[in-house]
Amino acid sequence: MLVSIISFLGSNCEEDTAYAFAKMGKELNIDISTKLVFHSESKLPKDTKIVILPGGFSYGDYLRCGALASQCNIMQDIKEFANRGGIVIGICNGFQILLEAKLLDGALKRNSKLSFASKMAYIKAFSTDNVLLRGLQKESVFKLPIANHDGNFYIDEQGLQELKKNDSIVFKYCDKDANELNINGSVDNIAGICNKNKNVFGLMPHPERAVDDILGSSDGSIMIKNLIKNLL
Amino acid sequence: MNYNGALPHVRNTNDKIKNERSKMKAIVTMHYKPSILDDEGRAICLSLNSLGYNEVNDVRVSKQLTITIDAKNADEAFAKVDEMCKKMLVNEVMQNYDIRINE
Repeated sequence: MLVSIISFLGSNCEEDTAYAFAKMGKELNIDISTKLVFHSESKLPKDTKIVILPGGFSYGDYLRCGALASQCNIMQDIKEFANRGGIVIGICNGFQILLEAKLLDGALKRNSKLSFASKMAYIKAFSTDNVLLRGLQKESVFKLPIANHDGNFYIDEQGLQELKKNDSIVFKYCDKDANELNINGSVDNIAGICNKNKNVFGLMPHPERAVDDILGSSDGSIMIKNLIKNLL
Repeated sequence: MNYNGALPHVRNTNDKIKNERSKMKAIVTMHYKPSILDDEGRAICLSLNSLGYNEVNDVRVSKQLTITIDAKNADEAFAKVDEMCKKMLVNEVMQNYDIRINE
């Protein structure tokens, strides 16, 4: 299974993501290969099964987070891949890029307290009817690191109703007992969403940085392994 | 969409020769839509209040770009910059924008 990880100028989680997928493949005894794809490429590698837009600070967050990266060469092929039903996941800055590219609905604003949030956060599986979480318990809690300045999800009322109608709210912030919590001003405590066809995902927390107890949590590995298993 | 200050209808009277392009400045101002809480503006407002400026009710922060562009006339410059705004410069989910062309 080939995982293509896009490297924008200023991405900084591409190696972590590659490490996490390779490690999960090994633990599951499934052949996973990862490939870093530079933003200037015009085509994704053939046989790409999953595209990851990793975290980081592409283009120094100039103009708006993700705005410049969303116009990069490779984005056109990612849009076509997504339109064909391919699995695309944006993590942190990757989520911002997917929103700017209009592959997902909504926007990410500066955190309501204006501070850079760098800490462990809890999120829960709000909808499990998708390839990322199918098979896991609804309301499962994940302890994952967050590291962002602009993680405050915004969508207008009509857009929020659409997300609810399409069962596209995938993750919500919560406490360790799954009680919803608003940590950064996000509308409806949203931490991650997917598109209507449920093949494009975006989330602010970093599952790829939580794949080993030594990192403070291994909850990310549950999510990544689940995704791999659902795609077999 | 609010096009305050934008002058798409104003033609440059010096535009004598067709196809002659001149440098113009397009001033793009973008700001959060009124329905969106501007957290930065709010923090500045609260700071002003704590300095004793209790007459300040609200502060909204905007971002301004000055784009130097070659165009035949103000109409053309406006249309091009408007296209840039829609394509990349502005996120219309949360922002409004104005364009002003200085010939």
